[in-house]
Amino acid sequence: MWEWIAGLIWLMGILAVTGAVLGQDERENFMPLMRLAVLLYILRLISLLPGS
Amino acid sequence: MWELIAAVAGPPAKLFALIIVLSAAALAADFAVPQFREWTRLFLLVSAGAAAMGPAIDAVRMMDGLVGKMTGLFLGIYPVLAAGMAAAGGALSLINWNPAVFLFVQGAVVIGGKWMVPLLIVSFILDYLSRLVPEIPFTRISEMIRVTLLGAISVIIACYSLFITATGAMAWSSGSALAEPIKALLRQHVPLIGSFITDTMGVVGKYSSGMAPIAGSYLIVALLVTSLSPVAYVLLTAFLYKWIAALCEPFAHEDLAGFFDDIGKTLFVLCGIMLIVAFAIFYTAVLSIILIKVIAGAG
Repeated sequence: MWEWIAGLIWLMGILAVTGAVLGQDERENFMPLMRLAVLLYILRLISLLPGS
Repeated sequence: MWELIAAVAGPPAKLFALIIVLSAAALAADFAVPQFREWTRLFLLVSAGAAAMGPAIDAVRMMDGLVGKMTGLFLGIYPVLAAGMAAAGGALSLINWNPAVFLFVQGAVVIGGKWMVPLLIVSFILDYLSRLVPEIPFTRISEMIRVTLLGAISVIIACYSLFITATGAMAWSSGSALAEPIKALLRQHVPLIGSFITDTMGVVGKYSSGMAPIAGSYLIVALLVTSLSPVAYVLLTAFLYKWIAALCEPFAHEDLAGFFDDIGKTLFVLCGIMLIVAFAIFYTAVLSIILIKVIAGAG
């Protein structure tokens, strides 16, 4: 669980830096991709749950 | 008392000074190089956010350590206490004695250590992440964590009240009429957990008024102060975060003020958990005293 949280912090940190690099307008375009990355990461949590 | 306030207020005061310096630097950078506004915001949030976590995580760690010690104490002392009380003869007919409370105290401490502390830390982190990348918010998850924890706390406190008052032997002492306005004030003005504070005050008050003739009122007061001082510590820290948020708002980045506000909210939930632990400490200490009195033949 803690590893998952640490991974989430890394992912969001990378996304924050990417967002700053891209700038305001391009960030709007890349937002679906960023959300997809978060979605895929959250799916990993479900596989970590006991019984799955 | 002043030592406690000074010890609690020290780290948040340093944090506030740091926030002022960082905000001044960020505002100057925004003015000088407006094209790097995004980067300035990112650096401000990373540095100030990391610093802001410090006192809050300290409070959670203190709670974690306290719960760990309590778990050890319970597991060690309760079988001895229970067996001693049964063996002392007539102990089970003591007023205020209810074996079922053992279950709840122990359960509360185990749940508090195993679930509540990690969930609170996760709630801090999610609040921070949703401020860091505002386009991907986790605010609802952290709000749900807080609401769920508050629900669990309220159920546990309700069970305490139920089991302790089930014997019917306890009533408020004559000071209850005086206490009502204080309770109403607390309930309305302490955010989120005001009613928990007053409920727990009621339970502890009922319990201690029943215990005072047996254990001695000075001892009861000393035990209350000792067990409630961590609660005061966390409550003060939570209010200091709210104060920092309020003082920062005019000049700091709005995400920063919101983040401090969220930390304050989560610490209020932590304060609710601390109340349960404080009650558990109080209960164990009082039971130990009763056991000694019963064995010595003075009960």
